[in-house]
Amino acid sequence: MAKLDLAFQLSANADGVAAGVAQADRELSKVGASAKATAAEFRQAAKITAELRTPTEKYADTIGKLDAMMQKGILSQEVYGRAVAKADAELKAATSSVDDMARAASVTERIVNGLSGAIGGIGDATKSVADAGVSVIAFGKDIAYTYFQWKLFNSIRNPAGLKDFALGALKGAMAARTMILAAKALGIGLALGGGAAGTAAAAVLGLSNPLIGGALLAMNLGKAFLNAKDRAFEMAAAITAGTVSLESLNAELGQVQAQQVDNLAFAMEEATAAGERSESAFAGLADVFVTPFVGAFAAIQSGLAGFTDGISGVVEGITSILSPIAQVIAPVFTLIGTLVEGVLKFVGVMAEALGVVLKVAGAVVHTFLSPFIVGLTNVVEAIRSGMNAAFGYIGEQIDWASQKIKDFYAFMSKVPIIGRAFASGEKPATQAAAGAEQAAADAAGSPAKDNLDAELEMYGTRRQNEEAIADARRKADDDQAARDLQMYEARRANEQAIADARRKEQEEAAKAAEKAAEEAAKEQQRRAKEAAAIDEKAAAKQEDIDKVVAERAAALGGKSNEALKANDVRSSEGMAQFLALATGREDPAIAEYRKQTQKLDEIRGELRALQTEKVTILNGAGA
Amino acid sequence: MVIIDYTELATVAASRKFGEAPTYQRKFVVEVDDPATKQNEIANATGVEFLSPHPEASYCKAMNVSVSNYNGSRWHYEVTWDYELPKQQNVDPNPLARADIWKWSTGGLQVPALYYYDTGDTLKVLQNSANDFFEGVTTDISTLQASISGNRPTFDYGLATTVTNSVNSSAYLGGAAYTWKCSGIAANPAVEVVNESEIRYWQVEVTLEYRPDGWPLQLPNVGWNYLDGSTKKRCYVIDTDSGDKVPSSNPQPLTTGGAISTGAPTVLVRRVHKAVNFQQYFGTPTQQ
Repeated sequence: MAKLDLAFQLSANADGVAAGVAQADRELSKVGASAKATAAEFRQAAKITAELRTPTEKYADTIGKLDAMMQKGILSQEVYGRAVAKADAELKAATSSVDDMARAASVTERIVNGLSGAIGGIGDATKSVADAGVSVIAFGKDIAYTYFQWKLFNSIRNPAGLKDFALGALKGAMAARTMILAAKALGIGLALGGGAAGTAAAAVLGLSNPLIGGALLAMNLGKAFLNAKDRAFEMAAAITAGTVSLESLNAELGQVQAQQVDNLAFAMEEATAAGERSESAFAGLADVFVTPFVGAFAAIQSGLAGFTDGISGVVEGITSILSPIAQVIAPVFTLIGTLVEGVLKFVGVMAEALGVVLKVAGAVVHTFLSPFIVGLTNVVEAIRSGMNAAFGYIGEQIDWASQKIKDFYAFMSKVPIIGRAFASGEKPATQAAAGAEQAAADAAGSPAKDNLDAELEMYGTRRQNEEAIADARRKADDDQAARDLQMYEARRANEQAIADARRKEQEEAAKAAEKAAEEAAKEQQRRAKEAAAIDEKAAAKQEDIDKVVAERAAALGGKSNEALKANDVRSSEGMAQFLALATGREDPAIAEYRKQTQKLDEIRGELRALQTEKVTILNGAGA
Repeated sequence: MVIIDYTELATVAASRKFGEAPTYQRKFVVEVDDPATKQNEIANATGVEFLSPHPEASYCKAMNVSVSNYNGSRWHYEVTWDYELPKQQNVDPNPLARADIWKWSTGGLQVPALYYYDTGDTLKVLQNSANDFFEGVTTDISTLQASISGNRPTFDYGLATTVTNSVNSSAYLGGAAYTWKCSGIAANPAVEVVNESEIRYWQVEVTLEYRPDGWPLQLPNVGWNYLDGSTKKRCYVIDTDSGDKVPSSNPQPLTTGGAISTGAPTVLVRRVHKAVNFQQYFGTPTQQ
């Protein structure tokens, strides 16, 4: 019966999930547009956050990742040791300034405190929702038990139905047992991935038997939800108690809040690369499911609370209807049972659809939802607030209708002839039961006062239940308001930190730009002086060149004023001069001219070198 | 104051040396009636006068005479006549009538040695085996110097200035025109007494120099500048490496038109001395 109870509980949860997901999908379509528009801002913010991370934070992140990977067996001890040594070296190199470390640690501490407050609120909400879920589950058990009784009663009334019931229950139990054993054998347990695999298996089996498929789907989803709820609850409790360390918090949720935002923001812009994320990123992303499903489960549980109330009202209505009519219109019961069966099958189908939706949602969430956690949380909380307000309003209207019905019964009880039929008020079922019991009591001789007492007791119990529900709603509203406030403060602190970081960055950039401009100006002046000195040298050398060239040109263009000295060829000097010319002896001026040309080439080379040096100076880096 | 008598002393002095002209001496004692008799009358009282031949050697002429008291007597005088061979033939007692005396000497000038005489007196270029000239090697060429000594009653120094350093304008003494040059003219005053007559005159000495290759300059036609059309420009040489024109450090050969040239320069023969008629001024040597 435990499996059957779980199936009923999870079927009810799936119904709530379907409604919640449909509503969330509508809201998400609105939020998605604005979220996409602000994706770049998220990415920028994530980058700023990542850039503001201190070497110690980076070191802690790195060590946390390495620890997680080593625990999963991905890294060997040797590789782990080398990676830690590298991280140590980088930390030592980066932590040259103790002030920077202290300032960074302060920023980190503020962020973590904000996150801790938010997560603590979520944990508290989850815990309260879980408590409410326990009552819902108990109520589901009652419904299941009533349903089982009704089916048994129907079977007794119809032996053929009893046979079908027995066979169906047997088949369902065997199939469920088989799937559980198979899931365990495959190692697909409580993790959400295992739940997804089980959901897929349930979808396949559901094709042959919707009841079994729905039960298995609900079972796996329920296990995943419960597991997520337990993990979120334990985490929130640990944060609240202060027993969680910063590293473990970063490992569990810190990556979800900051690092995954960056990663998924990248994934939005680089959708093609989204599927190529590293195994560690997928492992971290798998943990992300814990957080949204805590909220989802809280919403579902909250929905179930309202749903249960509604069902309670329906059952009460049905009871009130069936009690006076049961003895008259027996076939109507069968019709109602058929309707209930149809509802259950519909729930099974919806659960299958939910499985598909969840798969799609899983893919979407895989790519998109993580960056939008904050926005989604706000939206979901808004939805929850709206829904609570709506259902509160509906509850008030129902109470008003119930009061009107009571008034109607009171009025009708005063009508002659038929007034007696309404003498028992708005509790026809009770009246019917009371009638039956009255008949039995009449037969047994029991007094009618007992019936009245029982009616009063039921009324008191219902009032207590309604007050408990109202208290729970007020408490939930207060908690929601507190969470909104904490979220607002955390967001504001985060925005303030980002604004401060941006302002500081802008100031530093402005100072750096001013300093760079000043240095550039000095450098420019220095280069200008060097260039001027080079120009002077170049001008001097060019002047030398021009002088020599001009002298050459003048020498060739003008005439010589040198005295002509010639001797008689019959003298030694004259004959030497004659022979020098006669034998074609090279004029010494040529040798001198070559030396001069070589010197000119050297000067030109120096001039070119100076020009090259000047170009290098004026066109160099920073010029 | 009459010459009473004279007597030739027996003492005869004669001197002969091989290869030299002989000399003789005659002594006379002249007796006078008056101690104040003129010395010229006493010397000529012996019948001997200047250029009188010696009785034994007529080629010796009376050239010197001296008169002195004989043994302390105031009325006896000793007259000594020295006879010598005159250097000039037919010497005239009148110095202005004497012929000019030509004296000759030879010399040499150092010139670059460019040629040499090979076997068979074949004239060849003096070069080494690589056909390079030996610069600085010199040789001598012969020159002839003529010194003319003559007595002139006057000395025209203007003419002497004009003639000095002039060359012969026409062939002279076997040399072509411009081969003789008057190197200098010197004149010294002189006086002689001939027949008791005082004759004053100038002993003029002219030096002539003969150069076989002539006295005009032989200059290479080179210069620092050349004519480019009508523009004078600086001479240049071509740098064979770069082909650039380089202002030359030495004068460069020129063509006859003044353009720049290459190779051996032409030789400009330029006479820088005026030419005069040497025959007119200096005559020809007389046979002595």
